[in-house]
Amino acid sequence: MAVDDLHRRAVPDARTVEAVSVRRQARRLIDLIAGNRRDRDFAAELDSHIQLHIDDNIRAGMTPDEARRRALIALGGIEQTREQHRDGVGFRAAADLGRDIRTTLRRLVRTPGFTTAAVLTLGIGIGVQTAVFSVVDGLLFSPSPFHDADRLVLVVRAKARGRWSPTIEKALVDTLVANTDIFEGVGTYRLMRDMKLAETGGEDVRPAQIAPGFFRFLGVAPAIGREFGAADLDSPVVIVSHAIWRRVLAADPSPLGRTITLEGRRFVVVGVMPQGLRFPVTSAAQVWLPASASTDFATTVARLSPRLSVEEAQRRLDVVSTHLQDETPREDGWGAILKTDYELRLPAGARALLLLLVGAVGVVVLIACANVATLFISRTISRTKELEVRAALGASSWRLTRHVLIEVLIVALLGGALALLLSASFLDVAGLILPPELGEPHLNLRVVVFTAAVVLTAAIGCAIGPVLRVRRYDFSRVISSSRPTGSSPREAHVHRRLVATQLGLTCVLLLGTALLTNSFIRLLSVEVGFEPRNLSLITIQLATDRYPTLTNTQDIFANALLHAGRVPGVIAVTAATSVPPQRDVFYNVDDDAEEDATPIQAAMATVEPNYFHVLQLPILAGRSFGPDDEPSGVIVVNEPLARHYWPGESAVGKRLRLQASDWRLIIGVVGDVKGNGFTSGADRLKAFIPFSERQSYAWTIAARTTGDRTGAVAAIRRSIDAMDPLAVRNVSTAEDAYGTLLGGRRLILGLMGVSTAAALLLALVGIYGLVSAFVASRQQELGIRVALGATTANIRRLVLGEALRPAILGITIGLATGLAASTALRRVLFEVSPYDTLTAVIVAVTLLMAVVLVAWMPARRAGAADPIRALRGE
Amino acid sequence: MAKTDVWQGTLALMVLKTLEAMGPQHGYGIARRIEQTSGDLLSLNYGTLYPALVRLEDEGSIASEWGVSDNNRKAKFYRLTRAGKRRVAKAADEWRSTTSIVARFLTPGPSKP
Repeated sequence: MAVDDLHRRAVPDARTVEAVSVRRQARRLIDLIAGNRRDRDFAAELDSHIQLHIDDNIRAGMTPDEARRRALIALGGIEQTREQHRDGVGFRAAADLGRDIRTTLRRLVRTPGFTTAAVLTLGIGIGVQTAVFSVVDGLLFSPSPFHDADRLVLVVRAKARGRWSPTIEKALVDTLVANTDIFEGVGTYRLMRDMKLAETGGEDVRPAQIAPGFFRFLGVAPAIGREFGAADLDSPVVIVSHAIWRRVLAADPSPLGRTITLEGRRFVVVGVMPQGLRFPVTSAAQVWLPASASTDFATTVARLSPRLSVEEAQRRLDVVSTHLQDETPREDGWGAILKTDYELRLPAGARALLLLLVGAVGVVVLIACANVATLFISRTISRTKELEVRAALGASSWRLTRHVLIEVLIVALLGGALALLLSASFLDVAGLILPPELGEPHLNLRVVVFTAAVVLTAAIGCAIGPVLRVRRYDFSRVISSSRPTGSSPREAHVHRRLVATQLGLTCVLLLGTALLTNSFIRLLSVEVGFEPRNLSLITIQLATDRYPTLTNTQDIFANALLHAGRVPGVIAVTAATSVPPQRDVFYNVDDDAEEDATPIQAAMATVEPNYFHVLQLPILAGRSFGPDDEPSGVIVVNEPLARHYWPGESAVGKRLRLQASDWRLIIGVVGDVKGNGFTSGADRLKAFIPFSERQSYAWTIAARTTGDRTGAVAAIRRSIDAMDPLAVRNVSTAEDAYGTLLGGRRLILGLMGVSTAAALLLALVGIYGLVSAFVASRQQELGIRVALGATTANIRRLVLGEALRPAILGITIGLATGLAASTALRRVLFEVSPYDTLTAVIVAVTLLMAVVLVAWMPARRAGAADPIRALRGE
Repeated sequence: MAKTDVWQGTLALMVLKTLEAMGPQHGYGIARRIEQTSGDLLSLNYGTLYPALVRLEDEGSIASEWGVSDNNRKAKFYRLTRAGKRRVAKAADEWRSTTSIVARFLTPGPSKP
């Protein structure tokens, strides 16, 4: 500043010489901001030079005005000298860059339409991609945090006929570990029912109990604090997830010793797990509590010995199991199964859906790329004349290319910023709307950078071509002629092909989303077959160490039902081994028609006699169980099972056999219920038998309530907790249980919908651009046509044809690709064929209509054009 | 006689020589001095002097600092550095040998029979 002040004092009148003093001041400001002290210094030096010369001239007798004029002439102009000075200093390049950036910014501001379209396209494309990737990244792409995760397997209990149960007795695991060398170590955990966290106003958090040393066994360590030791077993201590630490403990750098309140009990925080750690992988727990490793009905994780395949380990395990069974026969055998996906890794179906989503978002980005590329191509074409003049005046092709690159970069920066804003605001609310299984996603900068790079490369690649083309022109001809600066046939061809590709891709997405939506609507509108509203489900599981025999369970079973029935607000209460949509067990069933008929598999539930009445499951024929029935002699079947064996006649009075045991008389036929085999859509064969003596280790109490259900359910729970505090495993409503089944689908569908909408929007922008460019470049030709007698309708048809030709090509290819690709959807569709013709037709017609709608505006404009003006050229 | 434009590459030598003769001097002073020394035969566009000054300063032959001129004006003064002094001697020698060689071509010598 000192120099500036000096110069102002020294040459007060020199500045008035400068006609463009405002511009000079502006540049001085930019120089100042850019820290371009050398330029500033030189300005002062020049002023001093002129002043010295003026002094001399005045001494020689000139008037002050004449003196200044002569001084400036001798210098050869201030601006020219400064330019020369810059050349000499070698910051010409930097100054040019600055000028180019300023020019580009001005040009972008002058064309708000282009700028908005390009920035929005980039922002939406990258934003959607970033948001979706941030959500699925932790599930699909992050490397497992566990040590040698490939060797981790779940040891589950083998049941008859290839079925299995996730929990396994401690004694069996110990025996298997002792008798084989396939395990390097085992650890146990138990997912618990959600607990209320008082600190966030009663939010449900998902706890898991883990044995001391469990995390060490997995090969992970808390980011802060320690994991549980044997001394923690009976203390109220807790390890929290990174997200809970951030949200509930406000990311306190020293959280150890602070407490959180779960279900009204205070727990001392002893550890915080690292960010992104999910265990179990499929249903990420948020807090971990200590539990003894000797608990039964826990889930067992084992680490296989090195260099041992899961198949080989299973084979050796089977040998031991068979051997143990031979030595000490047990009713349910000694079998165990090693599972690699359940809870440890994402199930294949969920993986497929998430990958589908990633694919959809990838398509959106591709379309965004194509759009930005076309935008830049048409922009470069519309600037052809300007570029030609610049080239003729000596601008190097690098300089021209750099112009375009700077423009692309600025647009990309703005688009990237918008994308960050979009995805950040999405992720802000994501924690609240996403199911807890997805964890708490955080912004994935890796993805932002990657996507921006992809889009940029595409745009630059497309924009450089037209710029370099400028070099090949004969400039004298170009400048003198008033040739319209439209796109060359080859470029128009590329443009059309890009638009066709966009529409094809959009078509694929639209088809996929339409199929999923169709499937989802069918899922929502499906009649579950009973009344799931106001039906509370309380799942009970008893531990074998407290109830050594089945007879021991009789009291708590009967009392639980009795107390539940007396709770105010409970209209009716029943019990069953499973209530839809809970998982059923499967039994072999055969009828007495043929001696050696192959038995079929049917779902089986053991129920209280009033089960059908309480669930409002219609009895189609016969009756429910009565007090006089011998429990092992009667059976109720559902309509599909009755139809399977006795199509067209009444099943009541016929006989069925379970597991090849005694014959049972069919006393009733009930309606079909959609259970958790929901997605298959296949009719489920199901049979019901009565409890004998109300004995069971696991059952569900279903209570039909009126009014406020929470109070009633809490009362039922209290009465059961009073008998056995460990008995209740889960509390929900039938409606919520169905909702959970659909929740994941709803989310995926929602995200697919957003992607598809973005793709459609972008593709339509592309069509609009194509048609507008067509009209702009053919104005003269269209004018001639009108002059020669073409009607407005003729012109409109010509322009619409320009849009429809690539559209039809794109849609045709898109439909073919989409139909081929949707085979992948087969496993996630419900009652919808991936080759649904109606859906395909609707998609095609919708797209075509959208194209016509978008192309209509420029077509109308072209039809209404004044031929005289068009013919005149400009 | 028409004024001669300054030849490319010779300006630097003139600047250095001027500074050697006059001691520290500002840009305007250097320009005037070159004009005067040439007997007003050279037409020096003063502006072209500055790129030469920048180059010389960049290569370390001269150094500059702000000071006050004889008639009390703020001005930037240039002076020869030690490297600059070495360069003047060397460049002057080179120039002399170059011009004497060129001069031999231009002087009509005894023609061979």
